[in-house]
Amino acid sequence: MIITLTPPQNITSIRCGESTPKLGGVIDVSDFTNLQLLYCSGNDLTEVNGYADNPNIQFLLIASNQLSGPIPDITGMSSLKRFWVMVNQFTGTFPDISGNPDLEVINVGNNNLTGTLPDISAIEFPGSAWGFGFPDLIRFNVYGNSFTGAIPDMVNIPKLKYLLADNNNLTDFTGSFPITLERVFVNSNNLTQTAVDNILRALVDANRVTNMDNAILNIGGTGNSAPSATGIALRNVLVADGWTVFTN
Amino acid sequence: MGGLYLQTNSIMSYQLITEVNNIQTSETDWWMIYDPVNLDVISSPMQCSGYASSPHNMVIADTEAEVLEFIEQEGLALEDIDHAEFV
Repeated sequence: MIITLTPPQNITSIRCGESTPKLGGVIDVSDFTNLQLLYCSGNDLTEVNGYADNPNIQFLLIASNQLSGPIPDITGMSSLKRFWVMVNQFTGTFPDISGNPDLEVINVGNNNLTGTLPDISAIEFPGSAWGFGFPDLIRFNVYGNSFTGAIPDMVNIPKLKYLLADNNNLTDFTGSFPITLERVFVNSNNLTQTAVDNILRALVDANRVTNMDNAILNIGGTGNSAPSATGIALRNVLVADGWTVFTN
Repeated sequence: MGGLYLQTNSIMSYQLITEVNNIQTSETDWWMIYDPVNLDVISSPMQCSGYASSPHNMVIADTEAEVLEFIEQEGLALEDIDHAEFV
């Protein structure tokens, strides 16, 4: 079926909605040059094309479809704020986000991605007021893939609230967390004891002690090391501050 | 184990733990953490081995359905703000 909307350049928002049977096949939004929002989650789409070089799109929700292959190059999406592509079958590596300084949410969870995660605090935005990192990023969701290597240092992610990197093959962490961080799921990786201790240390140093109702760290699960005696002492500090902590 | 309440009946079986201090779970256990004051689920039902410490309450059961039934029975607010977010 071909649906024609005229003129497409006047369209700023597309919501696919839900239907039975689910919407399948291919969507191409390349003619919608002023599109700002594309919501097409929970369908059976096999391809969504024509969005990756659109500098006007701010919100892209194409989660829970049948999308496969590499995540397109999104460096041309200079206005992108929220990028949800979770629960698909994407392969390849984590996308290059060096062209997306306004990112607030990135969720690539539950795909088949491999390789290492970028050092997002070290990504430079020349000419910006802040220089490095992502000043507005609140959610970094990479869970349920096969990422290896280190959990990124979050030193230049000052508003980060959610870090969900569970169920990967991550091994290391060195760095710091912002005080805003309150949901940390890094369970079921291959984190070394040093990495586990470093995560506990980074959260203690962040010194979040207010608005603790939702504060949780899960660093347990199959594959992760148990904390050392020093790590256990750090865990006890977090619990005393109001954190829910789950370790091996 | 302090603060442990075990309920078993024909419908479901679970452990309600009110003093969550280094509570061990196995790979097969289903568990969740909730705030008994605000009745909010802090950590959605999951299977994950390890040791939990928390100022909140913990429920451990054999199946996810039992945990979900507890949530419904107690009128807890279950909003997945983590893995199923769209905000």
